[in-house]
Amino acid sequence: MNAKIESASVPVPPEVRALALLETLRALLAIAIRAFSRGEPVNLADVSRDINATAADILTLSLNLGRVQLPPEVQRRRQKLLAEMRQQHAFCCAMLRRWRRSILLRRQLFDLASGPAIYTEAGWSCHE
Amino acid sequence: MSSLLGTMSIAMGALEAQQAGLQTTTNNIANLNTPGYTRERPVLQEANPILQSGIAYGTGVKLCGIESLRDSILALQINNETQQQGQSQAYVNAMSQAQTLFPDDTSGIGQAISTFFQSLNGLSTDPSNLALRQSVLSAANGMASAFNGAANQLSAQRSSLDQNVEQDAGEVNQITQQIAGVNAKLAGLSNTSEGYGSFLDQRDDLVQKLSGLIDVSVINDGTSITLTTKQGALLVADSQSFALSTALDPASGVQHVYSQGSDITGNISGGALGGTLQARDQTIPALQTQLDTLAGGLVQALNTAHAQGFDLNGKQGGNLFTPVSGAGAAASMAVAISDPTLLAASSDGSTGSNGNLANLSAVANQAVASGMTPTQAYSNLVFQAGGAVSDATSELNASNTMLQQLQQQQASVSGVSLDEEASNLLLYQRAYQAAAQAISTVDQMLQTAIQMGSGT
Repeated sequence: MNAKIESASVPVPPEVRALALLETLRALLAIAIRAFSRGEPVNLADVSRDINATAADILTLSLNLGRVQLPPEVQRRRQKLLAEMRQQHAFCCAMLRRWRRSILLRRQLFDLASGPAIYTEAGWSCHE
Repeated sequence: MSSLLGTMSIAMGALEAQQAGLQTTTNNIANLNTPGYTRERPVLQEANPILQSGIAYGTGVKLCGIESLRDSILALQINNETQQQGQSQAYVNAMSQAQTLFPDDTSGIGQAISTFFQSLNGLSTDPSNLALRQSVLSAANGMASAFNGAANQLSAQRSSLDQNVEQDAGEVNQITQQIAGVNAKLAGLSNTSEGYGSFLDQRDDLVQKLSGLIDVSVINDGTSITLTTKQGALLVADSQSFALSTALDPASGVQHVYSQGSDITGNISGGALGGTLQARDQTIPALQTQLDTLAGGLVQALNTAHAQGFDLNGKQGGNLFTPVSGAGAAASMAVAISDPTLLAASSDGSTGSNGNLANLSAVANQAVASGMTPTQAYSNLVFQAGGAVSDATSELNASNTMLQQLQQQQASVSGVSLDEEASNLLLYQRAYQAAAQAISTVDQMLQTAIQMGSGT
């Protein structure tokens, strides 16, 4: 019990925490990719919330870190994670775009929408 | 009033209908594993009743046709996704090769630039040393060769993509001819005809293949289809196909695609042709421009620095590199001097001075291309080439995944289910047996009636 308290109170260096958050984000994106690949939209809403929360934490931590010179090993790991996440993010955006386009197409063709909906790539960007 | 012959006729119609059902089911089973096959089913309808003495008598069953179970929306989505897949695949293939020209490891232009500046540092320790001077010239030649090699390979790759454009256009023409042929066959058939569904399958398959090559819009009028590119260039109308042609554009020096005399090169966005054109006309030229800008800027900056110094003979330095600028700068980059004594290392004309080497070395940290240092500009090139491949690969993966999902959905609509077919088989068999029994019974009744007649 005491050991636990002791280990919990050890301050984690911010760069290590940032790296851990990036790993979490990568894992969350992997879950999202699995959901997209299997065509299971159910889990996406929850994962999306978690992704947003983790991304916000990373942003806050990055602002606090400022221009701290990261050790080369941490920097390399960080760059590798960022490159990997860039691909994960691009895949998720591409799938999201396709699913939305698919839904809209069905709506338009079945005339279920109340009025004509205009599809634009820009309108469906990932950052909206 | 009903008659025995009327009953016989109903039973005969039933036999025919159940036989059609059996044939359709057997055909479905036979094509269980045929790619692109669409499940069929007979369309049976109750025949019009006849009214006799105020009583409506049924007249049996009518076979209205054999229908294929298709979801036109899914087909449209599959065609759209196939266009994207074809586009991404062709683009990734093209750009993966271009990416190899800009490595971020210890080779290529980046390394050649570093080696050159390192050789300047080496010479600064002993500026009159001819061996060190020669090594600077060798490094300069190495840097020029790296630029030449990358520029030439980019050009070669563009030429190779140019050949792909011609090949793809040829393939498009072959497929549109085949589609027009199928349209002609379908025009001569009614949808109840045998083989009608097979022709529809063939045409769907061809349209999907075409979608992999070019962006296609399908206008279906029930029997025939009209195909255009997304921008409206006609490809197929009924039983006529409209061939694409390619011709060398004198202004750009590459093959352009024409449809009925109009240049549609800039309007093709989907399929392999779209991806190839995007790489050939946009991404690779952009990389070439950046490479030329970097080469031109670097040469100019190094020449300016070199001209500030003096060579081993005490003469003002000339050009270190042959001046180059604009398009083709990287391909024609070359060292202007071969004599190591002409290297202007000195800042005051004395042989021991290395003052001008500092000016030359300072170019490494100087903005030479679009406000970036040589290393930054090269890193930017690496990033752009890598980013293009990475983004396109993500799009390709998404297209593959999406196509898989759409094809699964299509299989659930159009695919053959053995359980369902087995149950249908039993259903038609029993109905056929019952109809045959009805015919046998009516036959016996007729015999009885005839015997009754002959007995009187």
